[in-house]
Amino acid sequence: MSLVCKLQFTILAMAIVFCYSTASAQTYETIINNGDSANRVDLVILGDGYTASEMQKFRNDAQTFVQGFFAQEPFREYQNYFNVHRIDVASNQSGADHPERSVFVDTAFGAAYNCGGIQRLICVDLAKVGNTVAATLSPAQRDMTLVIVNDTEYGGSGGSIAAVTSTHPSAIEIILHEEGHSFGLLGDEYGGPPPPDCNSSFEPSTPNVTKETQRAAIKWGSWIDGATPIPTTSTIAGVPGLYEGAGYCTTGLFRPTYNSKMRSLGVPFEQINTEQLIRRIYNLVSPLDSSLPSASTITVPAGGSQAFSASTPTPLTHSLSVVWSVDGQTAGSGTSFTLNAASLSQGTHSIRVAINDPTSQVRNDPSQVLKAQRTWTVNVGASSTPTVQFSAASYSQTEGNPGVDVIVTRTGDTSGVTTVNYQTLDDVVTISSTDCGTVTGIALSRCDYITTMGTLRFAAGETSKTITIPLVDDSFAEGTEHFLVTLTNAFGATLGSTTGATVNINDNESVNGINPVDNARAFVRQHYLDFLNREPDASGWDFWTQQITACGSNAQCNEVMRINVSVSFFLSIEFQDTGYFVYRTYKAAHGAIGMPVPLRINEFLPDTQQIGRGVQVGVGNWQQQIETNKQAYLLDFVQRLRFTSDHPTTKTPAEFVDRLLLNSGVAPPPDERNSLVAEFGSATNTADLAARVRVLRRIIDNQVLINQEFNRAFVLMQYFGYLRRNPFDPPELTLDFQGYNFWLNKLNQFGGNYLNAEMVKAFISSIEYRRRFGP
Amino acid sequence: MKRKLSAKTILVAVLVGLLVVAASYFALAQSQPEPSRQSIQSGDSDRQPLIENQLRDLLTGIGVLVTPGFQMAEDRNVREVAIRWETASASKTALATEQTGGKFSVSSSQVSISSLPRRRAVELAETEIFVAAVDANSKLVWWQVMSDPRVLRSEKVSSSGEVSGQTLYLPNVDFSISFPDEPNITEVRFFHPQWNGERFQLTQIGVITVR
Repeated sequence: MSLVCKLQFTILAMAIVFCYSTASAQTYETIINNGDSANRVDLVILGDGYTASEMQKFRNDAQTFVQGFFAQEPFREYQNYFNVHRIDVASNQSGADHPERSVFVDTAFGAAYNCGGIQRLICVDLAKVGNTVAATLSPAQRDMTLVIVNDTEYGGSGGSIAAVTSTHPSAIEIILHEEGHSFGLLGDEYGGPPPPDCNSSFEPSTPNVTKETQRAAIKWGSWIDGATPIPTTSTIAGVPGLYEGAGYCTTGLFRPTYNSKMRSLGVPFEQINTEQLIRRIYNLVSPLDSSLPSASTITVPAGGSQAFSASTPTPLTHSLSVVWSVDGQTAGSGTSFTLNAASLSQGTHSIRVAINDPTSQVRNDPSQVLKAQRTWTVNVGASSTPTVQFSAASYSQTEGNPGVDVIVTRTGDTSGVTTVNYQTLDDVVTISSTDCGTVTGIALSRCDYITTMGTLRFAAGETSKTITIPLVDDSFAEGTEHFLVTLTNAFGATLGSTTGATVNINDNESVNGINPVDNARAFVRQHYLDFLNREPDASGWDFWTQQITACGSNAQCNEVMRINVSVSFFLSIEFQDTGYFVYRTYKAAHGAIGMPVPLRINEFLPDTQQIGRGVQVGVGNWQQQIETNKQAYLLDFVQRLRFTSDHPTTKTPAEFVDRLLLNSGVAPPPDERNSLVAEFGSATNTADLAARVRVLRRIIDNQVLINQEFNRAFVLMQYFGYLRRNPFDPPELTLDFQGYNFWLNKLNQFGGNYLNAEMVKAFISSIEYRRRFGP
Repeated sequence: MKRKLSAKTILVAVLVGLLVVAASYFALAQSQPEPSRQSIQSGDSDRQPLIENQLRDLLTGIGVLVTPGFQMAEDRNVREVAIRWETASASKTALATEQTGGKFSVSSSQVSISSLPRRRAVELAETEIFVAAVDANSKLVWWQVMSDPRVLRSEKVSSSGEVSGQTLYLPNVDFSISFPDEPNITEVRFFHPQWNGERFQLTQIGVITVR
């Protein structure tokens, strides 16, 4: 708590302190990750009154809570429906405020006992808690919030923060009771005396309290055995009936069981409350996690087949029922189903998957939340147009292998040429951290594989193509992770139903290992991947590795050689002719309007890969290959929407040339400028595509531009290559170009000497770079 | 010698400073999670007619229109608005019984790429707030149910384990809501669900103007 807040506290003599502060994102860990937050109940745990040196205690306390929470039904059975995130916020001082004995401590969320004059009531700064959670987690990741206060005295509160609790031994039971209210919308099952006042004048809204005494009208009537008397006076635990005393009324309102957690601590929720809690879980979690194909209308050739799949969350001791039907007739069960179109007539058919939780713990489900279904429309028909799609909906590879092969197939009439674009994607739905070491189940291109994209070309007769995606062998024990690969923009074929596939990377570590980037061979391979977008060739890999290993145990030599080897990749002909060529293309075409660099990493990577495809300097006729790639690239580039918008063909040749020169920051002599204009001959507009390419190419290759932009590109490639992000992207603290400008100024200050500027050294030894690969 | 030492000290200090600056550029920090890309369907679109009926029952007669075929707005761009809700004058700060109405004012607003939680059924309680984002014609664009931020429950346990307690209300609270950053959303309205013994009726307690 800040001094200002403390002052307010004292003056107002009030336990709730409103301190307006813009919270920043805090370090957090997803300690239980059971899937996409969009379809899970996400619980957030924060601590207050834990100093930096007590953070391990906080982690232990949070773990104790988690274990206690998921030890009780129904949370035990449905624990896989929950994610748990722990946000680590250190307080300046330990404990909580005790105004009743004039004890005030400086804590992150200002936890204070004796709130509103009630000793056991702990209040926290709701705005600070809310701001911290909002700055750290996405809305879908914060369904319930719990604050653990580092004080052993009994106390807590419930409300919009589901529970605030001390570390008193009964804390877990209090939390579960409060969750019954805030999450389960359950009422209290205890009676008087007031406060609160008893009001039994009408039927309560809560599902576990009633005033009805007619068996048929009791809202949990289906749970009451016909032999159980109404009202019920039994004292046997767990027998559903109608027990008088609930909702703050000693008489006139009834509860479902003799005792329950909504009446007493240390007992189960019992049947009716458990049923409601399960329904509440399903209010947030669909029993259908995902289903494939993603398209809802698909075409299957007559005689062909189509695979369908559905995935569901998994309760601890029972399974959800998954039933498939075709045109209303049950056709199968289980999470996968293959439609054989040979058994169907040509035309439109309906495929449906229905999911249901058959649990005996829910007898009433008026909103049908325990069910989900999805329907596809399948057009069965003969088609001469070939279909391209992935050979499978998922692929797997074990980390440590250089890459994973993903296969694209072409079926149907394969006599023509087909092209289709492919691209890898992070499945960022549940990303909970940018740190490569955080266990999320999601593979990140920055950490686990290399972004791969391009266009596949099927020649006549070809039916299969393989995409190899390089994998990064990090040393984090992170479990199985996955990313996505997609197919788009097919020409000469239609896209089949499997246009998206999941690639699973099986971990090869059970515990965190030594950071592999310290290994020279791994360090060099990563540079091939990061700068040249390819696996190393054997001789090059050996050569650059030996440059480092030749230093032996000489640490200083080792450091210098790592820097020199690293820089060699930026300076290499292969990179200068691909990555730096792309940089200059954007600079000449569009300038650097609005930011000090002309392009972003999402523009850089695909274009660089396009030019570098099939190129390995020193192997074969690589010069011709790269020239062919450059020409094809520029021909494509000048036809892109952004280029044609910036440079409409109605411009005169002089206008076109002058604009490109202005963008480039190059002012050639008049005769050179005029010769550029002359590329268009006598034309008065710039519709000549080839001339547009020639002019752009000549400016890109202008030596002044090459020299002028060198340092800027050098710095930018530190971000693109090593950190795999834009200079302004998180975790850049200021989210702008301050860092980029710092290094550019420093590089310029040292006349481009990267060693003296210590730029490369700083990047390759940075925490951010090193954390891509290991602890 | 002393002078040389001082120069060296300064140099070291400068280098340390530079290292600190450099380190700050690479400091590992946690950031707002990346956006959600909904590439896979969960089948909940089949539930829309059910939810539409529940919403129509609830919102009819209180000035919010639920159009046939109502679909929740997409939520890739999410607007998060911090709101101050004052139900008592500034001098009144003690915990109290529930106050109706009050003043809603926007403290801050920002847009990020994110995803929102979704309810699969409309279920209410008197300790919750129903939030409706509407367009200029009062058509429902998006809805959510959230805990009433004013509620504070204080409960104690007897030696036998039996619970007792009371519900209190904070007079002034700060809270935030998130909703799709849809250009057609002009207002966000807040309703308090009141139970009449048979059904919930919504009473508008506040509104914020989005555009």
